[in-house]
Amino acid sequence: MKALAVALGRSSLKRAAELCSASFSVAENSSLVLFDPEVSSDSLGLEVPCPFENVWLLKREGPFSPEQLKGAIREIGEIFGASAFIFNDSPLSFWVSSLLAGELKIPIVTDAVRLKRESERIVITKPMMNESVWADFSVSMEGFVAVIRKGFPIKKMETSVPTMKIIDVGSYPKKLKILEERTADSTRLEDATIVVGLGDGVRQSGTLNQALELSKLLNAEYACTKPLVESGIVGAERLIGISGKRISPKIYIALGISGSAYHVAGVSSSDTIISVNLDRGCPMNRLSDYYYVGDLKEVLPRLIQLLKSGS
Amino acid sequence: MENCILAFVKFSEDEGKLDEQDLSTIEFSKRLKEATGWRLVGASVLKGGYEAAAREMFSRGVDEARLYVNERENVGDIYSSALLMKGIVEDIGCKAIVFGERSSDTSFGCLGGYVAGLLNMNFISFIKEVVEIKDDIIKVRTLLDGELLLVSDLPAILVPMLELFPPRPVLMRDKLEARKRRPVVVEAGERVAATCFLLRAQKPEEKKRDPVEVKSPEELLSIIMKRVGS
Repeated sequence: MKALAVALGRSSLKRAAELCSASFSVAENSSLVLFDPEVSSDSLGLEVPCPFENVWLLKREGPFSPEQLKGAIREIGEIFGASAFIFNDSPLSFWVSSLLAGELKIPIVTDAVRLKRESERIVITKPMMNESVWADFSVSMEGFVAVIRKGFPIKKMETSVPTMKIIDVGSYPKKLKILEERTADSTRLEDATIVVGLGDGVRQSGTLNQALELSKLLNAEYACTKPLVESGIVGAERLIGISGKRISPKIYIALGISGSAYHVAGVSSSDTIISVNLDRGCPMNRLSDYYYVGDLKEVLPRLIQLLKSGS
Repeated sequence: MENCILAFVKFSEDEGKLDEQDLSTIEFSKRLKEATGWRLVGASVLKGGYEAAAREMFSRGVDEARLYVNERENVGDIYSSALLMKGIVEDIGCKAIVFGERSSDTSFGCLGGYVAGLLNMNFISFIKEVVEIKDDIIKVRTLLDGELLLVSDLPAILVPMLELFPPRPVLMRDKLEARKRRPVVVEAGERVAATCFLLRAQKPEEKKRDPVEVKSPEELLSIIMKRVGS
């Protein structure tokens, strides 16, 4: 069985090791398809920590439409003889993987945390019911699409020198016409070690500036929840939640975030979650590793003072 | 194709209540209706509780509620759900078809894309804003790695970023009006054989977070620094 590992979106190369582990847990042979606006054939090099047979680097000149990526991946899958398509977890992946699965009429399972082969079937594990259970789904080896969750367990693999192939995405047909493309602002949410999450409590307490200062002092990125986008305080590109942008930093610091299911879905893969909230009983506190019950108007200035004094 | 908007929504099984996130699916669809004057058709596949489901849809601005009765549910099998919805899309023939991100309980926005793939129909996801919709085109802004302004011919399948379309409160007047209206209840027919089966459920393997209360900002900072390795 052959699997095509597909990494789409900014910083997706960083997910190559996870995709490698997922692919080789079900297939004997795998290749990588990579579309990362920040990776060129020069910067990629030829060594990847995985015995991938090939690396297909998708390149584009100018605006592209996600359906063009789908076209390219489908064709690569046919050339390679892949029956499994394993995607990283990114908005672009959700878009492309569902279209591909529908077109190929094969099952798709998202949010996969484990993949394994059980005799003549593939078992994909995914969390359900607000993470309270893990469900095992069975799909046929004849064809399936899986989208793996950030933080998929990595197995140590041997390094290979795969064959590099470059494909121009622009040569694939598209039905959507792109009029304008604005690259993301300087957000490095996907790469950040520390992310400070700004919730409605920050808005209500009037501590936005302190929260941003704390983020800066910690060399962190900041993200936000729905109310801050709705009120126009923070741009939607920093919204974390169920809509697709999900992060897995080493530390997530939730400031004044109540912990709605929308938001929690986007941060649950963080290594450590720290919540600061005035409401002791808020869901975010219960879903965290550490929580502090306190008023942001008092906590933030103190944290800033401590950081500035190097304590 | 008819000048109408077809919105797929999900109801909780027991109470005939709209899925919390699909309240935003309806809100997004309602905004399309207000921009175009087109008829808004709400559709859902459910096992029962039709009256309550219909009232909920009507009170939120749906002009026509179509409820597809299906006793069997293949949990997690997008293929059979998508085939059912493909049939509904073809049957109703609206220019704009809206899916919420969780119109299927086990996928994240995948059902809309899957149906689009089956129908070879235009598909736009992560919609932040509808800039224009008229006649046979829609112009939207989407959020992927950055922001795209794009135009698509209609018909198209649309998936909004639900967080950005909070539902408006329902007025008592609309609730009362909704009681007078009746849904179209349709036998959904047999689902095709599933391609994805739920085998078993188990306790999560992942570390369970066991929250520890921190007593001071000093302790809080110390934890952050230890965790980050500095």
